[in-house]
Amino acid sequence: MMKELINETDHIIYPLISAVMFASMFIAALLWVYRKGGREVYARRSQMVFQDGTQKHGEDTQHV
Amino acid sequence: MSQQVETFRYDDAITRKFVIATAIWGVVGMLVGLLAAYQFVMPELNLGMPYTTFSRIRPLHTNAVIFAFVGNGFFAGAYYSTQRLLKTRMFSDTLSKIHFWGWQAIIVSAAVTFPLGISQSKEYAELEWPIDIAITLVWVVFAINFFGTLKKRRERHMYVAIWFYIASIVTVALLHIVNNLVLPIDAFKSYSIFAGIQDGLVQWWYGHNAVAFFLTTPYLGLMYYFMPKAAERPVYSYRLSIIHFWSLIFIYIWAGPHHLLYTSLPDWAQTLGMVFSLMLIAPSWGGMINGLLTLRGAWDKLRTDPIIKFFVVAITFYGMSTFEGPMMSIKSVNALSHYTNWTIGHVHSGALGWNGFLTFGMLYWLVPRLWNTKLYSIRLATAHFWIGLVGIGLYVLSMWVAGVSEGLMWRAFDEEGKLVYSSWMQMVTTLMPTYWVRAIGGTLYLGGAVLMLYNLFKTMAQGKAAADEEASAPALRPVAAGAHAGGHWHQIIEGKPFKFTVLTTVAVAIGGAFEIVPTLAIESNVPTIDSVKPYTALELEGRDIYVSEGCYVCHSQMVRPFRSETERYGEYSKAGEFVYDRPFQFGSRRIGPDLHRIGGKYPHLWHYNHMMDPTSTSKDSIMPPYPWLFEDELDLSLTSAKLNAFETLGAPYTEEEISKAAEQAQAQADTIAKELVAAEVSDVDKKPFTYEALRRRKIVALIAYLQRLGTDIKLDSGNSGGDTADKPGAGPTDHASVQP
Repeated sequence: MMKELINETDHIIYPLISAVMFASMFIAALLWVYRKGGREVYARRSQMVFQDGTQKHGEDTQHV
Repeated sequence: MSQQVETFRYDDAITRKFVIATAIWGVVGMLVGLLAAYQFVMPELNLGMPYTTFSRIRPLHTNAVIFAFVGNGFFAGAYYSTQRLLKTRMFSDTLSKIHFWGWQAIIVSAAVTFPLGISQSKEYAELEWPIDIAITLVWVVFAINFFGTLKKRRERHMYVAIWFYIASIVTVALLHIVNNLVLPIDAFKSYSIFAGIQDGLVQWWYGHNAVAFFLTTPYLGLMYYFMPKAAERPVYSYRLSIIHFWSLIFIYIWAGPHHLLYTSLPDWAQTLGMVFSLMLIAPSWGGMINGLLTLRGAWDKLRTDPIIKFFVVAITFYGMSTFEGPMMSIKSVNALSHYTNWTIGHVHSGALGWNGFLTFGMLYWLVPRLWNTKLYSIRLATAHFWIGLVGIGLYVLSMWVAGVSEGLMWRAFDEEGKLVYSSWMQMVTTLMPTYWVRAIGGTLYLGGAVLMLYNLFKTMAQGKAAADEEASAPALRPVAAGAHAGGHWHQIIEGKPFKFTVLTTVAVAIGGAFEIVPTLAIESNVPTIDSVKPYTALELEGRDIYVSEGCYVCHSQMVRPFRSETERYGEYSKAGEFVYDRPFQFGSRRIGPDLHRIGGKYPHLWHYNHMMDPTSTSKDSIMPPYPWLFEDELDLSLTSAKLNAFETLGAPYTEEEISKAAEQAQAQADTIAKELVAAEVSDVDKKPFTYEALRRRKIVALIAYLQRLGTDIKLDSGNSGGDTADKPGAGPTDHASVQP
């Protein structure tokens, strides 16, 4: 059944569907990151690498 | 209500283990690569042994640098950063240790089996099925440990590096399992359940995405963690990193077919691969820009800090190779670049520049911290950087020159419409200087890595393995049902590992499903050809020897539909010709000429002489002799089982053919041996070969296979052959000379 359906489908449909899916995903990601109030949230997120719960917050240069 | 702060310790011992493994395996893998590179200019460097011959050690080199060097590098960085980003110790120290020792055992097993000629011959997936199962188990251990750590984390939000790790873990599992679906014959031999063009598509869906999800996404995760750490600046744009992540993982998975442009792969799949490859530039460059601009306001560090130097060059090479890759995926460019050394240059700009330099920078950053000391020598690290950079430059430039040169030479016609370079040897000698420059570049790069090894071990020696670092953080508060911690809907997935992983899996699975399922299901994609028959028992044994020796490393079996190729080799290859090829043997480069139409082109004696001493038939050949094929016994004990496996997978062998496979194979071998003995062939000791001895040697089976290649639909035209197998004698001829 599935095989017959795939066989009868015009192959051009696959690139078209994929393009639509990517465009949708991309637009959704854009809307997501540029939502209202996002700037502050992401400013905090970007600091996470320096907040590992150890004594030496921030980064040190003593090792180099 | 105040939260109780918990104190805990990170497991740094596991990071130290992976750090040491990365540094050592890196040097080993590069050393094997260097041995392979020098065999281009001095083939005798294989020392006359099968175990050190280029075709067997090339997979050892690629697997060592990918899975041993980069793999251990990823694990080192991931274990260090994951714990700190999630503010918790790893889920299980025992699983961490099993992961480490299991992975090292797999690497050692690869180092043993490849030189022995035990190989599936699928690039970067050459390991045989028992080791593939071991990889799966170790990967599952890693995944349980990683997701268990996510479960017990004290930080709700998952930093973007964690996203890249999740995508890598999930996708590598998917790729590895699908591409290694095989039917075992014994512990050392199996056949792919896919055949021909379908096997090719599955393999390059894997191969391309092994680059994507083993060499790229894990290292992007490392970049997003270690670059800000080294620069002491937060990532340039967290927003961009989100778009980078989703776009990259969605697009990357579709681009595999660009490895099969102008092959027998259905045109729609080729076009899909090309278009998505071009689209890849956008997210890749988004990531590169994000990485480089993290240094904003701190570019002065580039002058003094070798770690920043390594990181900046690594990210720059990421940008360069992710621009070059899509360009090479444009069909008209690919027509020139494919099968040439350009591909080798492209791969190494990514591997040496991006993976190598990012790993070096990370190791220089990690080792002083993990051993609680300062780096032994900044000057040595800086020297390593410059030596390595010059090495990459020489390597990549020489391969670009070689690739473009040979691509143009393959297609050059004179005014009379004849191939200008009808002799393959003309091109081999032309490329020789570039092979020397490549080898020198590789020597420099390895020299730099050896300096690093010395520097790191001196650093470890002067320091002391630090106790597991203590940290403290509040426990993670459970979120009330229906509420989102940050008040934003995006938190639904950014703070929920399971949902995030499901979405990531869907994003990467879509591309594979859309390309592979139709290729497997649509019958018109692989039109059957009545004249194409399964291999005889002896030809099948010969094919297995071809696979075992790694002939695909230097020879393709895919004549593309270009006049320059049909003139040189014969009729272009059709999808229906490969329906009994398990695994496919299209290859990915032509150090020697294509072999798909070699069948019947020369007599048996030519092949005999060629394998005994390639320069006797092709002067200036850089192919090494294969004397062991004249000494090793042909083993027919598994021939029936092999035919039976093929029959199970769809080949129309009769019961009689299966039950009498060994006898039939021997009968065909006897015919070939008689003809060779009549031509008074000598063995490796220059003594006359007796019929009784020769009929049981591997070389006879290999000749049977080579003489079958491409003959099922062979046209009766001048340059494409006709059956010349019965012609006596085989004097010095050119491997791919053409008589248009």
